Amino acid sequence: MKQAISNEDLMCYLDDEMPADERKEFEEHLKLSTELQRKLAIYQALRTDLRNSNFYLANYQRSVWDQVRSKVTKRLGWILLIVGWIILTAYGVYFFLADPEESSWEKWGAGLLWAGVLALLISVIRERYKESKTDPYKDVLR
Amino acid sequence: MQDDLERELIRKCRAGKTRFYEPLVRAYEPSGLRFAFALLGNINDAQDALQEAFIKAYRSLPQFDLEKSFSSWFFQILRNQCRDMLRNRKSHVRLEELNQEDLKITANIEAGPERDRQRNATAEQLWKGLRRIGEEHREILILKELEGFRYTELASILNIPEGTVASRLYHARRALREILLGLRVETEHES
Repeated sequence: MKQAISNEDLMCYLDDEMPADERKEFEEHLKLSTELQRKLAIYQALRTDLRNSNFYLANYQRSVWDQVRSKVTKRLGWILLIVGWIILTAYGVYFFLADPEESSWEKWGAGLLWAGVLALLISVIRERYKESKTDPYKDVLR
Repeated sequence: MQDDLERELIRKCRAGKTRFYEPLVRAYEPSGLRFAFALLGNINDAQDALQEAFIKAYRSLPQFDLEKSFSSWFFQILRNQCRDMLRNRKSHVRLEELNQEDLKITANIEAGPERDRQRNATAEQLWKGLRRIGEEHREILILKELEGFRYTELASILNIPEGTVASRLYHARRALREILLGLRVETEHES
Protein backbone atom coordinates (compact mmCIF):
# COMPACT_ATOMS: atom_id res chain seq x y z
CA MET A 1 0.00 0.00 0.00
CA LYS A 2 1.13 3.56 -0.72
CA GLN A 3 2.73 5.27 2.26
CA ALA A 4 1.26 8.72 1.74
CA ILE A 5 -1.62 10.17 -0.19
CA SER A 6 -0.72 13.32 -2.09
CA ASN A 7 -3.01 16.24 -2.83
CA GLU A 8 -2.86 15.20 -6.50
CA ASP A 9 -4.14 11.72 -5.55
CA LEU A 10 -6.98 13.38 -3.70
CA MET A 11 -7.91 15.40 -6.80
CA CYS A 12 -7.72 12.36 -9.09
CA TYR A 13 -10.01 10.43 -6.74
CA LEU A 14 -12.44 13.33 -6.46
CA ASP A 15 -12.58 13.80 -10.23
CA ASP A 16 -12.88 10.09 -10.98
CA GLU A 17 -9.57 10.08 -12.83
CA MET A 18 -7.94 7.30 -10.82
CA PRO A 19 -7.40 3.77 -12.19
CA ALA A 20 -9.52 1.14 -10.42
CA ASP A 21 -6.63 -0.49 -8.48
CA GLU A 22 -5.35 2.86 -7.15
CA ARG A 23 -8.89 3.84 -6.28
CA LYS A 24 -9.25 0.75 -4.12
CA GLU A 25 -5.97 1.55 -2.40
CA PHE A 26 -7.09 5.14 -1.85
CA GLU A 27 -10.34 3.96 -0.27
CA GLU A 28 -8.37 1.79 2.16
CA HIS A 29 -6.46 4.88 3.26
CA LEU A 30 -9.68 6.82 3.46
CA LYS A 31 -11.20 4.36 5.93
CA LEU A 32 -8.26 4.84 8.28
CA SER A 33 -7.68 8.59 8.05
CA THR A 34 -10.19 11.09 9.41
CA GLU A 35 -7.98 13.91 8.11
CA LEU A 36 -8.26 12.55 4.59
CA GLN A 37 -12.03 12.12 5.02
CA ARG A 38 -12.30 15.75 6.16
CA LYS A 39 -10.27 17.06 3.20
CA LEU A 40 -12.26 14.99 0.72
CA ALA A 41 -15.55 16.23 2.19
CA ILE A 42 -14.41 19.87 1.86
CA TYR A 43 -13.48 19.54 -1.83
CA GLN A 44 -16.55 17.45 -2.62
CA ALA A 45 -18.77 20.18 -1.15
CA LEU A 46 -16.93 22.87 -3.12
CA ARG A 47 -17.31 20.89 -6.32
CA THR A 48 -21.01 20.27 -5.72
CA ASP A 49 -21.63 23.98 -5.08
CA LEU A 50 -19.80 24.94 -8.28
CA ARG A 51 -21.68 22.40 -10.36
CA ASN A 52 -25.01 23.46 -8.90
CA SER A 53 -24.37 27.11 -9.68
CA ASN A 54 -25.59 28.37 -12.97
CA PHE A 55 -23.54 31.27 -14.29
CA TYR A 56 -25.01 32.68 -17.44
CA LEU A 57 -24.71 35.98 -19.22
CA ALA A 58 -27.71 38.25 -18.83
CA ASN A 59 -27.18 40.77 -21.64
CA TYR A 60 -26.40 38.22 -24.27
CA GLN A 61 -29.15 37.52 -26.75
CA ARG A 62 -27.54 37.92 -30.14
CA SER A 63 -25.58 34.98 -31.53
CA VAL A 64 -22.15 35.56 -33.08
CA TRP A 65 -23.10 33.26 -35.96
CA ASP A 66 -24.07 36.10 -38.33
CA GLN A 67 -20.69 37.80 -37.96
CA VAL A 68 -18.83 34.49 -38.21
CA ARG A 69 -20.73 33.51 -41.35
CA SER A 70 -20.17 36.84 -43.04
CA LYS A 71 -16.41 36.71 -42.40
CA VAL A 72 -16.09 33.10 -43.45
CA THR A 73 -18.15 33.31 -46.64
CA LYS A 74 -17.09 36.77 -47.82
CA ARG A 75 -13.48 35.67 -47.80
CA LEU A 76 -14.28 32.79 -50.13
CA GLY A 77 -16.31 35.13 -52.39
CA TRP A 78 -13.41 37.56 -52.70
CA ILE A 79 -10.95 34.81 -53.54
CA LEU A 80 -13.22 33.45 -56.29
CA LEU A 81 -13.86 36.93 -57.69
CA ILE A 82 -10.17 37.84 -57.82
CA VAL A 83 -9.12 34.51 -59.36
CA GLY A 84 -11.86 34.79 -62.02
CA TRP A 85 -10.90 38.38 -62.79
CA ILE A 86 -7.20 37.51 -63.15
CA ILE A 87 -7.97 34.63 -65.54
CA LEU A 88 -10.25 36.74 -67.76
CA THR A 89 -7.89 39.71 -67.80
CA ALA A 90 -4.87 37.58 -68.67
CA TYR A 91 -6.88 35.92 -71.44
CA GLY A 92 -7.99 39.31 -72.89
CA VAL A 93 -4.52 40.86 -72.65
CA TYR A 94 -2.93 37.89 -74.39
CA PHE A 95 -5.35 38.05 -77.33
CA PHE A 96 -5.08 41.83 -77.59
CA LEU A 97 -1.27 41.77 -77.65
CA ALA A 98 -1.08 38.77 -79.97
CA ASP A 99 -3.55 40.27 -82.48
CA PRO A 100 -1.55 41.27 -85.63
CA GLU A 101 -4.36 43.61 -86.81
CA GLU A 102 -3.90 46.01 -83.86
CA SER A 103 -1.22 48.66 -84.34
CA SER A 104 1.56 48.99 -81.75
CA TRP A 105 0.29 52.57 -80.96
CA GLU A 106 -3.07 51.12 -79.95
CA LYS A 107 -1.40 48.39 -77.93
CA TRP A 108 0.81 50.89 -76.03
CA GLY A 109 -2.06 53.32 -75.47
CA ALA A 110 -4.46 50.69 -74.16
CA GLY A 111 -1.72 49.09 -72.09
CA LEU A 112 -0.79 52.37 -70.37
CA LEU A 113 -4.47 53.28 -69.83
CA TRP A 114 -5.20 49.97 -68.10
CA ALA A 115 -1.96 50.10 -66.11
CA GLY A 116 -3.04 53.54 -64.80
CA VAL A 117 -6.55 52.32 -63.88
CA LEU A 118 -5.06 49.29 -62.15
CA ALA A 119 -2.51 51.38 -60.21
CA LEU A 120 -5.30 53.70 -58.99
CA LEU A 121 -7.50 50.77 -58.02
CA ILE A 122 -4.70 49.09 -56.07
CA SER A 123 -3.83 52.32 -54.22
CA VAL A 124 -7.50 52.81 -53.21
CA ILE A 125 -7.76 49.19 -52.00
CA ARG A 126 -4.51 49.55 -50.03
CA GLU A 127 -5.74 52.75 -48.42
CA ARG A 128 -9.08 51.19 -47.45
CA TYR A 129 -7.31 48.12 -46.06
CA LYS A 130 -5.01 50.27 -43.91
CA GLU A 131 -7.99 52.29 -42.66
CA SER A 132 -9.98 49.17 -41.81
CA LYS A 133 -7.10 47.91 -39.64
CA THR A 134 -7.18 51.01 -37.47
CA ASP A 135 -10.89 51.83 -37.63
CA PRO A 136 -12.28 51.81 -34.06
CA TYR A 137 -15.85 51.44 -35.38
CA LYS A 138 -15.24 48.48 -37.71
CA ASP A 139 -17.21 46.06 -35.49
CA VAL A 140 -20.18 48.37 -35.00
CA LEU A 141 -23.26 46.68 -36.42
CA ARG A 142 -25.21 48.59 -39.03
CA MET B 1 -23.06 17.36 -29.20
CA GLN B 2 -22.26 13.78 -30.22
CA ASP B 3 -18.78 13.12 -31.57
CA ASP B 4 -20.04 11.37 -34.72
CA LEU B 5 -22.35 14.23 -35.55
CA GLU B 6 -19.55 16.73 -34.97
CA ARG B 7 -17.22 14.81 -37.23
CA GLU B 8 -19.85 14.73 -39.97
CA LEU B 9 -20.44 18.48 -39.66
CA ILE B 10 -16.69 19.13 -39.80
CA ARG B 11 -16.33 16.98 -42.93
CA LYS B 12 -19.09 19.01 -44.63
CA CYS B 13 -17.47 22.29 -43.58
CA ARG B 14 -14.16 21.10 -44.99
CA ALA B 15 -15.95 20.46 -48.28
CA GLY B 16 -16.82 24.16 -48.33
CA LYS B 17 -20.41 23.93 -47.06
CA THR B 18 -20.33 26.83 -44.63
CA ARG B 19 -23.89 26.39 -43.38
CA PHE B 20 -22.90 23.18 -41.58
CA TYR B 21 -20.71 25.26 -39.27
CA GLU B 22 -23.76 26.92 -37.71
CA PRO B 23 -24.76 23.98 -35.41
CA LEU B 24 -21.19 23.85 -34.09
CA VAL B 25 -21.17 27.59 -33.41
CA ARG B 26 -24.54 27.45 -31.68
CA ALA B 27 -23.55 24.40 -29.60
CA TYR B 28 -20.32 25.91 -28.26
CA GLU B 29 -21.44 29.52 -28.01
CA PRO B 30 -22.88 29.57 -24.45
CA SER B 31 -20.02 27.68 -22.81
CA GLY B 32 -17.38 29.49 -24.89
CA LEU B 33 -18.82 32.86 -23.98
CA ARG B 34 -18.93 32.01 -20.29
CA PHE B 35 -15.29 30.91 -20.40
CA ALA B 36 -14.18 34.01 -22.36
CA PHE B 37 -16.12 36.23 -19.95
CA ALA B 38 -14.42 34.61 -16.97
CA LEU B 39 -11.02 35.34 -18.50
CA LEU B 40 -11.64 38.78 -20.00
CA GLY B 41 -14.09 40.28 -17.57
CA ASN B 42 -16.58 41.99 -19.87
CA ILE B 43 -19.15 40.82 -22.34
CA ASN B 44 -18.00 42.85 -25.37
CA ASP B 45 -14.45 41.53 -25.22
CA ALA B 46 -15.79 38.03 -24.57
CA GLN B 47 -17.97 38.23 -27.69
CA ASP B 48 -15.07 39.52 -29.81
CA ALA B 49 -12.83 36.72 -28.59
CA LEU B 50 -15.51 34.12 -29.23
CA GLN B 51 -16.20 35.40 -32.75
CA GLU B 52 -12.51 35.47 -33.63
CA ALA B 53 -12.00 31.98 -32.18
CA PHE B 54 -14.84 30.56 -34.30
CA ILE B 55 -13.37 32.17 -37.43
CA LYS B 56 -9.87 30.85 -36.66
CA ALA B 57 -11.28 27.40 -35.90
CA TYR B 58 -13.17 27.37 -39.24
CA ARG B 59 -10.07 28.34 -41.17
CA SER B 60 -8.03 25.68 -39.38
CA LEU B 61 -10.59 22.89 -39.88
CA PRO B 62 -8.52 21.29 -42.69
CA GLN B 63 -5.72 20.71 -40.14
CA PHE B 64 -8.06 19.40 -37.42
CA ASP B 65 -7.51 15.76 -36.48
CA LEU B 66 -10.92 14.08 -36.71
CA GLU B 67 -9.87 11.48 -34.14
CA LYS B 68 -9.62 14.18 -31.48
CA SER B 69 -12.33 16.09 -29.65
CA PHE B 70 -13.55 19.26 -31.30
CA SER B 71 -14.56 20.81 -27.97
CA SER B 72 -11.09 20.71 -26.42
CA TRP B 73 -9.51 21.87 -29.70
CA PHE B 74 -11.93 24.78 -29.92
CA PHE B 75 -11.42 25.76 -26.27
CA GLN B 76 -7.68 25.73 -26.86
CA ILE B 77 -8.12 28.22 -29.72
CA LEU B 78 -10.49 30.34 -27.61
CA ARG B 79 -8.11 30.37 -24.67
CA ASN B 80 -5.22 31.48 -26.90
CA GLN B 81 -7.42 34.20 -28.35
CA CYS B 82 -8.35 35.46 -24.87
CA ARG B 83 -4.71 35.44 -23.78
CA ASP B 84 -3.68 37.39 -26.90
CA MET B 85 -6.36 39.95 -26.12
CA LEU B 86 -5.20 40.20 -22.51
CA ARG B 87 -1.62 40.67 -23.67
CA ASN B 88 -2.68 43.42 -26.07
CA ARG B 89 -4.64 45.07 -23.30
CA LYS B 90 -1.32 45.00 -21.38
CA SER B 91 -3.00 44.37 -18.06
CA HIS B 92 -4.69 41.35 -16.66
CA VAL B 93 -8.26 41.40 -15.54
CA ARG B 94 -8.63 42.51 -11.97
CA LEU B 95 -11.55 41.58 -9.81
CA GLU B 96 -13.03 45.06 -10.06
CA GLU B 97 -13.03 44.80 -13.86
CA LEU B 98 -15.32 41.79 -14.05
CA ASN B 99 -18.65 43.31 -14.79
CA GLN B 100 -21.11 41.76 -12.36
CA GLU B 101 -24.11 43.29 -14.15
CA ASP B 102 -23.42 41.18 -17.22
CA LEU B 103 -23.74 38.02 -15.24
CA LYS B 104 -26.78 36.23 -13.88
CA ILE B 105 -26.15 33.67 -11.21
CA THR B 106 -28.69 31.12 -10.16
CA ALA B 107 -28.66 27.71 -8.62
CA ASN B 108 -29.40 24.83 -10.96
CA ILE B 109 -31.61 23.02 -8.50
CA GLU B 110 -35.09 24.22 -7.63
CA ALA B 111 -35.86 23.45 -4.01
CA GLY B 112 -38.43 25.92 -2.73
CA PRO B 113 -38.06 29.69 -2.27
CA GLU B 114 -35.99 29.67 0.95
CA ARG B 115 -33.64 26.94 -0.24
CA ASP B 116 -33.39 28.70 -3.63
CA ARG B 117 -32.38 31.92 -1.92
CA GLN B 118 -29.68 30.10 0.00
CA ARG B 119 -28.38 28.38 -3.08
CA ASN B 120 -28.38 31.62 -5.06
CA ALA B 121 -26.43 33.29 -2.27
CA THR B 122 -23.89 30.43 -2.36
CA ALA B 123 -23.63 30.75 -6.15
CA GLU B 124 -23.00 34.49 -5.83
CA GLN B 125 -20.30 33.91 -3.24
CA LEU B 126 -18.69 31.36 -5.53
CA TRP B 127 -18.60 33.81 -8.43
CA LYS B 128 -17.09 36.46 -6.17
CA GLY B 129 -14.48 33.91 -5.17
CA LEU B 130 -13.78 32.98 -8.79
CA ARG B 131 -13.27 36.67 -9.60
CA ARG B 132 -10.64 36.96 -6.90
CA ILE B 133 -8.47 33.94 -7.68
CA GLY B 134 -5.72 34.16 -10.30
CA GLU B 135 -6.38 33.78 -14.02
CA GLU B 136 -4.63 30.38 -14.16
CA HIS B 137 -6.78 29.03 -11.33
CA ARG B 138 -9.98 30.53 -12.66
CA GLU B 139 -9.61 29.05 -16.13
CA ILE B 140 -8.93 25.51 -14.93
CA LEU B 141 -11.86 25.60 -12.49
CA ILE B 142 -14.29 26.89 -15.11
CA LEU B 143 -13.15 24.27 -17.61
CA LYS B 144 -13.33 21.46 -15.08
CA GLU B 145 -16.38 22.24 -12.99
CA LEU B 146 -18.62 24.16 -15.37
CA GLU B 147 -17.64 22.66 -18.73
CA GLY B 148 -16.82 19.18 -17.42
CA PHE B 149 -13.57 18.50 -19.27
CA ARG B 150 -11.47 15.42 -18.36
CA TYR B 151 -7.81 15.68 -17.35
CA THR B 152 -6.47 14.72 -20.79
CA GLU B 153 -8.61 17.41 -22.40
CA LEU B 154 -7.60 19.98 -19.80
CA ALA B 155 -3.95 19.19 -20.48
CA SER B 156 -4.37 19.81 -24.19
CA ILE B 157 -6.47 22.99 -23.76
CA LEU B 158 -4.08 24.50 -21.22
CA ASN B 159 -1.00 23.16 -22.97
CA ILE B 160 0.40 21.55 -19.82
CA PRO B 161 1.54 17.97 -19.08
CA GLU B 162 -1.29 15.69 -17.95
CA GLY B 163 0.50 15.14 -14.64
CA THR B 164 0.31 18.85 -13.85
CA VAL B 165 -3.49 19.02 -14.16
CA ALA B 166 -4.24 17.46 -10.76
CA SER B 167 -1.73 19.66 -9.01
CA ARG B 168 -3.04 22.84 -10.65
CA LEU B 169 -6.59 21.85 -9.81
CA TYR B 170 -5.62 21.31 -6.20
CA HIS B 171 -4.03 24.75 -5.94
CA ALA B 172 -7.00 26.36 -7.69
CA ARG B 173 -9.53 24.68 -5.40
CA ARG B 174 -7.52 25.51 -2.31
CA ALA B 175 -7.20 29.16 -3.42
CA LEU B 176 -10.95 29.36 -4.04
CA ARG B 177 -11.74 27.77 -0.70
CA GLU B 178 -9.49 30.18 1.19
CA ILE B 179 -11.09 33.14 -0.54
CA LEU B 180 -14.57 31.82 0.20
CA LEU B 181 -13.66 31.47 3.87
CA GLY B 182 -12.44 35.07 3.84
CA LEU B 183 -15.65 36.23 2.17
CA ARG B 184 -17.72 34.41 4.77
CA VAL B 185 -15.84 36.24 7.53
CA GLU B 186 -16.40 39.56 5.70
CA THR B 187 -20.13 38.86 5.40
CA GLU B 188 -20.41 37.91 9.07
CA HIS B 189 -18.66 41.14 10.07
CA GLU B 190 -21.00 43.18 7.86
CA SER B 191 -24.11 41.60 9.35
